[in-house]
Amino acid sequence: MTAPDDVRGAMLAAVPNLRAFAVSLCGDVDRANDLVQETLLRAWSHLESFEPGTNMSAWLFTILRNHFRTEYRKRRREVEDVDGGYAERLTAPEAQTGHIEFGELRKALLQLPPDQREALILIGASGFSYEEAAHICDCAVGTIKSRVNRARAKLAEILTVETVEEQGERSDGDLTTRVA
Amino acid sequence: MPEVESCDDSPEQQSGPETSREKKHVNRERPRRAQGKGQLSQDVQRRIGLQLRAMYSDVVNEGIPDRFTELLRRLDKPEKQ
Repeated sequence: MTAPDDVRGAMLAAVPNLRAFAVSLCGDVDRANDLVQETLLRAWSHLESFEPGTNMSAWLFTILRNHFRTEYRKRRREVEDVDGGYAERLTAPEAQTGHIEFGELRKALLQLPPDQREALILIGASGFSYEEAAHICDCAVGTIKSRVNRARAKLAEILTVETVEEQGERSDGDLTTRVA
Repeated sequence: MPEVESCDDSPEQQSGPETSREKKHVNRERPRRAQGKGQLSQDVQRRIGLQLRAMYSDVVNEGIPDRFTELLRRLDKPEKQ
């Protein structure tokens, strides 16, 4: 029942990464902080289910991920335009700080189905292995791989529609100039 | 698929110095055109990957907000439920 200081320390040390995961998942800093807080509280009250010597960070990610999924389903039923609302609130402050591209990326992330979004973040940003991500998401390694691939393809599609058109125009222009 | 066509029928049409210049140009362009979306999307994937990590580490670098230090300090008392 006692929580040694090193467990508390490990939980605290995981906070920055948990927050980054949560922000990437829900696109909203306030809600992300709430998710992390709830994660820590749950972890604390279920410390006995943590096996000492195993990866504390992965354990906390699992709790956060499950909590997010439960909440997501609940909110989905309550409010229809949840994602749009978050995306909108995000763009304004970020445009001011010059991180417009992050705003676009976050909006694009929110357009992914949650299972693809979480897989992409765990693999592409959090630095977990496919095995660890599969464990966190409670699915097969192959499932994680295909979710990540689909997420990447979809993100590229969302983020490059304009870029492709621009580049097409530009290279045609170059061709004409150089040949003439 | 329609993109590839426009690039394929150009070489045979003209003669003279123009052609060699154009051919050179077409050849240089070809890898990009021929692979087209593949190459482009590789580049796009790389940029998306970088952005994703940058966005993520922006948050990581914010460190531990006080509320969580406080929270864990409060929790660090023996739990009696």
